[in-house]
Amino acid sequence: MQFLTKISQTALNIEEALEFAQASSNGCANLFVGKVRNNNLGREVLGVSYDAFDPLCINILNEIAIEAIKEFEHRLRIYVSHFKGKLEIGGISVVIAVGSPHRDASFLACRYIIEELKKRAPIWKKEHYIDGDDEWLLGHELEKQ
Amino acid sequence: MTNNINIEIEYFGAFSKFKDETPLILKMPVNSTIQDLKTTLFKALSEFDDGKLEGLIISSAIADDYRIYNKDETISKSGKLAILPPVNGG
Repeated sequence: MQFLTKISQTALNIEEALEFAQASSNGCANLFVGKVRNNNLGREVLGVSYDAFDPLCINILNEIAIEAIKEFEHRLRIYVSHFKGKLEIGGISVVIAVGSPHRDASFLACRYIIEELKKRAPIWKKEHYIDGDDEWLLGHELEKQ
Repeated sequence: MTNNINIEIEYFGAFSKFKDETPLILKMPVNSTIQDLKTTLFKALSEFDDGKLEGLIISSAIADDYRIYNKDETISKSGKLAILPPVNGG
């Protein structure tokens, strides 16, 4: 298989991602690592909890990977893993690795995948604030018209 | 005579607070639309309305394990469906 997508409740593995993206015909790999930061919209954040609808999420991540292969380079090797559960500041929430014969397709595909994931993957985050409050953040609507 | 279907609702994200409630089964006429389902869901959860619930349901999608449903699509059989608030992974 040319792509691997998963939702993980254990720490994400960057080495595994790069290893999957590797192929003897590939001249490069592009790596995106998303992390939890300590602030959002002026509020100090202690951590983030992630929820995901696993089976649908995998289907949609697979769709996105196939789109990237069709759009940018048919020899891409794509790895996408998203965390589910609670992370502290600096924790890794998402890892994307894209191996390609040439760098241009690798950069473009990696950017495409993270942007589409943010808009289409059924994943949600709840921020935990320093004042003890927490809040589910709202983002992109999924409903088809 | 109207045939009914039973839809069990799965909750995610901002709806997670409802997971602790008894599993919610909505009884609806066969071939109800996704819009009908949302209206029925709002009525069923209205006792928990904090003033934001209706807007949250309107902005949410309905899906099964495989796909997101169109707003005008009809539901012909009983089963489990998920309500998905706006997403923000990454």
